[in-house]
Amino acid sequence: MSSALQLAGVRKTLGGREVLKGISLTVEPGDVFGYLGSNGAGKTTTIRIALDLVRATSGDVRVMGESASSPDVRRRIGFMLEADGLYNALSAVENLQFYARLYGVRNAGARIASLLVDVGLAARGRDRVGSFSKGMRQRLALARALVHDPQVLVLDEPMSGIDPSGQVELRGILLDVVHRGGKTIFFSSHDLDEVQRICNRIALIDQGTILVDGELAVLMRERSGHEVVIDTGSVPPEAVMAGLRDAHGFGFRAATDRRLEFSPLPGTQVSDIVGFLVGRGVMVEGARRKEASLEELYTTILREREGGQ
Amino acid sequence: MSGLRTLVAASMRSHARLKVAVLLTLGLSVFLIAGLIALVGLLVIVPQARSPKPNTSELARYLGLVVYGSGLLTMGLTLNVFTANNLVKEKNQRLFESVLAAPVGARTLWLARTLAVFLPGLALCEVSAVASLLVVNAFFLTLGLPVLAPASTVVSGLLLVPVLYLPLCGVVLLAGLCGNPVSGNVIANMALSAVLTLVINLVVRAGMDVGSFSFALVHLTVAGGMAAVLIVLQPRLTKERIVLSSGM
Repeated sequence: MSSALQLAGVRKTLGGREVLKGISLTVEPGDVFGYLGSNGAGKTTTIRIALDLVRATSGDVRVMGESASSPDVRRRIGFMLEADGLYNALSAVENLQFYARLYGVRNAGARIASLLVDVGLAARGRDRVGSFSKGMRQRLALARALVHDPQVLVLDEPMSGIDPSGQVELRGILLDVVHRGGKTIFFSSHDLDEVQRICNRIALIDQGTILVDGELAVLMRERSGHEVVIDTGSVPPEAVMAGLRDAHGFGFRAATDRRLEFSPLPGTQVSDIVGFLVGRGVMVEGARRKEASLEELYTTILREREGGQ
Repeated sequence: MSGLRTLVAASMRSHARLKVAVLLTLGLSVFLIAGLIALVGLLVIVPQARSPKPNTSELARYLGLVVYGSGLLTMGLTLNVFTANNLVKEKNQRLFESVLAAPVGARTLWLARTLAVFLPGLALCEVSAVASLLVVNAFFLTLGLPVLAPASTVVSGLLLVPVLYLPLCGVVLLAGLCGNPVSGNVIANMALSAVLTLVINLVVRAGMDVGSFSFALVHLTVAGGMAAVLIVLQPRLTKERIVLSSGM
């Protein structure tokens, strides 16, 4: 089965500046792929190349196994760009009809009616888009992205400029549509929290270079370090706490109510600490490695890059 | 050229809903055509009506100027107003980026936008040319002059403006889509002034008849020149240029 989106050694020079420096990444069918990076990192250029709006200076771009420049590919991709690109003077229904015709959608009326219900705009279908709020426009842009029932959705900063409640709403609609339709999503963002909630895979781009690419859970685990968190049934007695502090190998760091945090030295197992606590009558409810947040992962990788330069 | 009709229809519908722009185009056209007819009436028709032997060929020449001028003013204003209002605004909204991400080529988009400005302009041009022909002849009748409608003048009045404006629309839209949209407006404004100046000089000073072959030849030459410019500039019409020259 072909990859949903594959970029191999893609370079792009704009105005004498190399914006993309040979990036390669693969998005598999069914992935919700977060494409992270700060402003000017090259996210939008990558998306424009994937949508054949801009030609790569060199490299290969394939969508569902076909060249991104193939006209047939356009019918298999839905998109939401940073600017919604909707006709202000036309109504929501007219905007969707326009794109449905461009994509050659059959039975467009029923499809449009159903999408407007999905994005919560059924009551505003006949209103002009110029009167819509930013959140409503983004929801309509999502409906537009789905009007031809594409296999791949490419979304550029879909939540930008929307208030928090609008973001929650749009995210819910997006996830619902994706889970029901089994779509592949490639979406760029610099909202790390949002990416962590939605995506199963990520890539981080900085100054036109992919710094990291892979399964989000694996990357977080790899970068989580050796910190261990143990939840206890009750606050351990002072004598036990003193024992933990004295046990040098445990690397006891902090205690917050019934949560104990350790940075064990090499050679010390989590089971050693758990055994110590249980042996002193402390009930252990759970023990786990402390996972780094995506924000920590992101800043660590960028710091490593700066250090390496 | 898939989607051409859809794009033209959507653009024209979008234009038609810009009430201020539509009213401005219609209002200014009526005002300027009325001014042109009044001017020709005062300077040519009334003196001819008062003369013992009115010069019908002189009257026919100025009738041709009015018919042609009415079409030119209407079409010129349509192009100016709709490129000024819409193209600049839509480029700033990056509307074309979304259209081009759908199965639409850069050439189809350009052609659709050209037709979306040209076709309503053509309709208004023909209506205003016919209306001014009728109004001037009504004047003739009122002043006891013969009704005039020389075939060559009518055909020139109805055809030459569209012949000139079709490639001009193409040039304006190509410049606006691939570069700064304001440059399209500058070309449209300059073209209207240049054609008006040229026509006034040809008809009033050089005494050329709007229905003459030489007048038609001047138009065909200018239109051919613009068509050549379009052919030369076609390779610059790419999705990348349109997208990267858009606002924000």
